Formats: sequence, structure tokens, C-alpha cells
Amino acid sequence: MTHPIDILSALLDDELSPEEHSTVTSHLEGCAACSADLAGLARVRSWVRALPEQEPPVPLVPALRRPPRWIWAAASAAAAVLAIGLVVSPARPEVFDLDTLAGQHTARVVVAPGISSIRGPVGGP
Amino acid sequence: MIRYSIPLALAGLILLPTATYADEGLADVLESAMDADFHGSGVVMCRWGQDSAATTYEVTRSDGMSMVSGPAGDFILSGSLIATQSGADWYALEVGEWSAWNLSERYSLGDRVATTRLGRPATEVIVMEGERKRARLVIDDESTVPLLTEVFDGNGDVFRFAALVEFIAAPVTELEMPEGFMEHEMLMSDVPSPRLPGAAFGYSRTDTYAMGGNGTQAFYTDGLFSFSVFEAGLGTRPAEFDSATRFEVDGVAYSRIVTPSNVWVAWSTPDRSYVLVGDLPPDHIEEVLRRLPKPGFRGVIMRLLFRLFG
Repeated sequence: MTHPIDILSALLDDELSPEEHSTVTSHLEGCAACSADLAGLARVRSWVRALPEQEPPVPLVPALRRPPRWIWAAASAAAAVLAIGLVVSPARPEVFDLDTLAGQHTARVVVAPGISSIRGPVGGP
Repeated sequence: MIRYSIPLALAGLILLPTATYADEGLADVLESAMDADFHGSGVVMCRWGQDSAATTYEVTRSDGMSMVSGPAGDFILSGSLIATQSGADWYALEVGEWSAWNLSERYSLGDRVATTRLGRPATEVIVMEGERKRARLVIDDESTVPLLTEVFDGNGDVFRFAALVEFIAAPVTELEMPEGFMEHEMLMSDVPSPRLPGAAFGYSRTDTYAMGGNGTQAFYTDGLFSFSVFEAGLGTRPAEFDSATRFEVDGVAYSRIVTPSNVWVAWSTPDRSYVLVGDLPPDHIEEVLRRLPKPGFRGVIMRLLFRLFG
């Protein structure tokens, strides 16, 4: 496979499907470059998490407590987009059923000559 | 095919003066094989690398109808309608529209040799793809039914083998279609499918059908072999592929399942899932996959959008 650089962060976040996870981990076993990239990503994550919390400078605190109006407008717009997305997001399509696919394929195969239709159109997944 | 017709006809006349299709081309052989009435039982097996599968099947064809018993259970074919039984109920799936059949010019008839099979006079026919032997058929002379078919892969090895072990020409059995169906689904063509090409390695996308769940079925054929590509949103890949054999084409990974009659291939692009099923040989599959949407993973932005909007 090609180097799975795009999904190394997903691997760290445990967001891969079992098959993707298996693919990437098996690739990592044989790819020093990707293993190094993964180690680097993990290291950066641990560094960020280990950073000490800093107290903001005192003059900034009142300003942060009173955000400007455009912040509220932007936040409202983002919330609206998110809400619309949740409401109108398409339903996840159903997982393909092999029996259904086999039936649809066989139905089309048998209406015309071909190597399958002449030898007996055996269906089934 | 046309340029071989005269020499082949002469060869047929010399080798097989009694064969009923000695001066016919491959298209005629395939078309006659669909029309004959017979009853038979046989075995079909398929092999790709270390993967193989086999099963027995039984088929009766009479007066334009067929009844087939195989791994998917019994089903009855009549014209463009396929009826399957589940318990006491029958379900019908009908192809409402389909394109005319055309045989690719890359296939031609090679050598024909008189032989016998199951004690009957028969003719061995070689199907050539260019200079390559692609299939071998042994056809019953009286009925024109193929008693044996072998399909070869790119290395010349047998990819699929199907043979009747019992055969009765022109059976007296009369088949009847069930009187009613619990469901009757109709496949209609001309659904847009912008991601899939109109042709791939000599296979034409002749029909595209809508499926439930916003999926589509694109049917490709070169007249001899055929396959369907099912396309739908991410997450539609069947769980059977989680333990399937992995293989690579040009360094990108696919999953495959070999069944007696078909090969199944599954993959996902950043936003779609695909399943290909068909009877085409492995070297054709690899060439076809090179021309279909490539597997890929979701980037950070795509993962975020997918999470939000599905």
C-alpha cells in the first residue's frame, strides 16, 4: 500500500475501522518512515498535553470575559450550521447485503448471452 | 471476429462436417447456448491465487424458462424476471430496461475439435482473446448446450471450471412461474453515476440501476464476461470483507472474496464504498480496477465533515 500518512493521526485517535487499523499496523511493521512519522506525531501530542497551564496576563482577562459582538455572531452562525448539518445530514446508507447484490447482478446477467448465462447462471455470494 | 469467419468456417467444414454451428461465429455459439432446452447437474469452481471455491448446481431449461438450484437456493428465470423463494413466499426481481448485447471484437473463435462428452458427440471450441487462449468450451452437438466451460487467467491457468456431470437434452419437465409474488422489484436504467467511467478495459457500462439507500449498480460487459460495480456512501461495505484476502493493484489495496461463480472485490474511496462482482478473470479485474475510482483514506477535514454530515 502507499504510505498511510493521512490516517496516522486517525490511528492515534482510534478512529479507524478494524480493517483500516489492521492495514496500517501491518504497514507500520515494515515501514520505518511511517513508524517514525507515527512516533513523531505521538511525541508532539504528548508534548502538547504535558505543557503547563499558563495564567493569562491580567489585562487580558477582562477583555476575554467580554468578547466582542462579532464573536457572538460567528458562534451563532457556526451553531446554526452545525444544527442544520445534524438535522439534514443524510442517513447513513445501509450496509450492502451480498445476497441482494448477487441477486441484482444475476438478474442482469441472465438477460443476455455470456459465459455465466450459458453455463448455468449460478448465483449466490 | 469477422476477419476469421471464412477460414474458421472452412476449418469447421473440414473438421466437423456434421456440427450444426460449424460455420457460425462466437456470438452465434453464445446465443444458441442460451436457447436450448435441457436438464443437467454440474459442478462449478473458481480459483484465484490461494483462494478457491466450488459448488454443485442443477439447472432445467424449458420453453424459455429456467430453474436453477445453487448455493443461493432455488430460483426461476423467465425472460428478464428472476423469482426467488423464501419460505412459502416468492419474491421477484425484474430488469425493466437493458441495453442490447454486443460481443467485443477482441474475442474470436480458435480451434474446433470434434470430441465426445458424457457419451455424446460434442465439439471443443477455443475462445481466443487476441493471441491468448481465454476459454475452452465443450458444446453438445445436438443441443448446443455447453457441457464444459473453462476460463483461463492471464497466465494461462484455469480460473474457472464448470462442467455438467449429468445431462438430458430437451427435457419433458414443464416449468411454471409462481402465481404471485410477495414483492416485485423492477430495475430501471439510466441513473446518473458520474464517478464511474463509461468504459473500462474493453468493458462498456451498458446500464446503471438505482438501489435502495442511494446506491447504484453499474453493469459492465464485453459480451463474454460481465461485472457490476455497486456504489454507495461510506460505511456500506459488507462485514464479510473484514476477513477477506487482500491484494494490491499498483500498490493500492483491495479485498477480494472468491465464490464458485463470481469474484467479489471491495474498496473505499475517501467518500464512497464500492463492491465489484463478476465472472471476469483476474487479469481483467486488475485492469478494470485501474480505471475505476481508486481506494483512499479520509484526510482530517474529510473525517471532520464525515463525522458531522455523514
